[in-house]
Amino acid sequence: MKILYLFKEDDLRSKIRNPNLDACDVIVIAVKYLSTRDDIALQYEVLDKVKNKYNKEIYLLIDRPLEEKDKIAANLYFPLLIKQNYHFLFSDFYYFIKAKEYNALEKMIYYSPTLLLNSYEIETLKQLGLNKFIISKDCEYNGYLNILENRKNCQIGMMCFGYPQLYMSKRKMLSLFLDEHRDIKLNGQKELTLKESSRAQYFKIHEDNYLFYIFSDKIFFPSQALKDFLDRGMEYFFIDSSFINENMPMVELVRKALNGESVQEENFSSYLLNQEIVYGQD
Amino acid sequence: MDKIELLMPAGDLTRLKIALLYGGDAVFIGGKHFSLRAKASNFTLEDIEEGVKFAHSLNKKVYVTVNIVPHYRDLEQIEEYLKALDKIHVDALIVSSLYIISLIKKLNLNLEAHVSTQVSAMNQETLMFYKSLGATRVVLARECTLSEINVLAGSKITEIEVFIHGGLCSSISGRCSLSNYMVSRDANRGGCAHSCRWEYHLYQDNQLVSQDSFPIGSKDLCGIKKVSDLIEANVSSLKIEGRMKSAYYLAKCAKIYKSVIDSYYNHTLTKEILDKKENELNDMENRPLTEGYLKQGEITSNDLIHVKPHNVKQRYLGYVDDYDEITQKATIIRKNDIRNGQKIKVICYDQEDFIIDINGLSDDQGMLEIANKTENIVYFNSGRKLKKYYLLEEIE
Repeated sequence: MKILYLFKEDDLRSKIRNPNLDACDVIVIAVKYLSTRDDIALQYEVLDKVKNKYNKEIYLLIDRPLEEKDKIAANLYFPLLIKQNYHFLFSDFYYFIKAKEYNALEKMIYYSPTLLLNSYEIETLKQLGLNKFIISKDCEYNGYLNILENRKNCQIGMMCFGYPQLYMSKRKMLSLFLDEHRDIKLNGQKELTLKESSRAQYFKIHEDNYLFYIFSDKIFFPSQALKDFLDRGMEYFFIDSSFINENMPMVELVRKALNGESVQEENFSSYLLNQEIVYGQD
Repeated sequence: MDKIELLMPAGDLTRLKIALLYGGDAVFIGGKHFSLRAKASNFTLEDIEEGVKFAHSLNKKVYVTVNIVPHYRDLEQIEEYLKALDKIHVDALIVSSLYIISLIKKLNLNLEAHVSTQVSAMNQETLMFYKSLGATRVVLARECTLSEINVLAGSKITEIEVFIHGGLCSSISGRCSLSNYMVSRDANRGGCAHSCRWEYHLYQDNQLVSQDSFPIGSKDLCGIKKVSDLIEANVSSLKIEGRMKSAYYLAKCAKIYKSVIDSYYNHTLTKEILDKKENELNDMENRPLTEGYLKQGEITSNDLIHVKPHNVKQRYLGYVDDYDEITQKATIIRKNDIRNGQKIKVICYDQEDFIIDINGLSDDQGMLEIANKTENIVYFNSGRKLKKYYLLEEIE
């Protein structure tokens, strides 16, 4: 079992060590130009600094959907990265084709935010040569159990802590809004939220050089379910630290939950974990 | 050079027939299960079989959407369903699940696999990946620009299908969980509540930043002026979105786009024709229109929906269900108000449209001055021969 923790660019500049990074098993680093976390991503050239500072196994997050023009960066960096001792969390099948060319499919972890929700998809991908998977966040409790029960010769993981990403657009909504409202002066993008008129939730938003994102209003941390999943063979527990202050002992909370210890839950949500199957309604 | 396909949506058998009669080369429809438009009045297997027979009699095609992103319980009986679709000679499936694509090969079916826009294919390697699984066509992500479409369709790795008209997701397709999270309706399983079209406001540190709403929904797509570019890019199919749209909308869209496609191949397409067709499309039951990523240049705030009332023009009066040549009496499935003595336009699929006067308006209860109850069947004397599926339109 491994606890994965998403590194933020600030962690590299800071002189104070982030205890979450010391406590986790694997550091996940978003790679500049190739991930959906461009704001906290690192340039290829500084990846070694993290390795040297924390001396941990490192996985690279390269989960941005790639347009043809984005392949310039991917074609440049992926061949360099694949020759090194990294694993990769990817969602675009561009990387599958390229990793296959490099005979390196064993380094690839398929990580789709929405498309991987049943064991049949996993079997299909296994037959193509992949054997590591992060289940999409929209999975329900029984869905996780079903996948774990049907798991054969592969490693399964989940996002277990963080704000789930609900929406990703190529339309840069924040920039467009600010272009129309030149009088508005924001304090960067810190604590920016959207609120739907008739609801009380404040959804976190973010925009990077490529995309605009909406995240949930609450941290997803299904503390009561994690031990169940671990006992049934879940291998990767991924903490997405975006928007969360590093003073929160995220890795410690996850470890406690994995050990079956009770964790205060009022600030957290179980996202869709307990949801019954939902189809369209008239 | 193969002529580009005009692919129309259809929510039921009537709309399937109308979409094909008015110019569609193929229709895409959803069955009762495994499809992404749960609110469309989806087809039973018997309906699909009848639709396929009708389409094939016109040398046209039927594609069935099996494009939910399945959770484990959603896949019960999928094999039986695919075999049944194969048996009734459906031409292709539109799919997003890798497993369902793989089943087509495993079950040795004759069905083609068209990869849904839900997977957001945007590069050549992704096309190669799906081709290697057996897919023959990929529906590109709606974020692809014209120059990217040129590269992808020009690569000839698979057939390429492109959205040309209708509603747009503002999120990258298949990546949106807003509706599921906010109202427990899963967009990837047919339940999208269009949460992106709701009214939002921007806050920082829990303080309202502006009284103006923060739009995140997109205007509807209209690519009528890009048809020539897409034909020349080697695109195989132009898709119109809207399985929940009316027969009138489908007929008008099919007719307008088909005429532009035909004009292109006949070398008679002019800027004047395109301007006229664009105006006709603007005049329909759309939200405001945009060329989206098909236009040259960046998306601007003008391409987004600002939340304000949008008056949809209701000029669709109904369609002809029957015509008695002896009594010259037409039977109409009425959709909006019709008045006795009213002049209306008849939209035809096989001749020029024409104007008639309505006389002797009645329903099963007797004579009427105005038919304005809920949707019902009415009769009138048209003074001119009408055919089943001709449409009636109010004249402004």
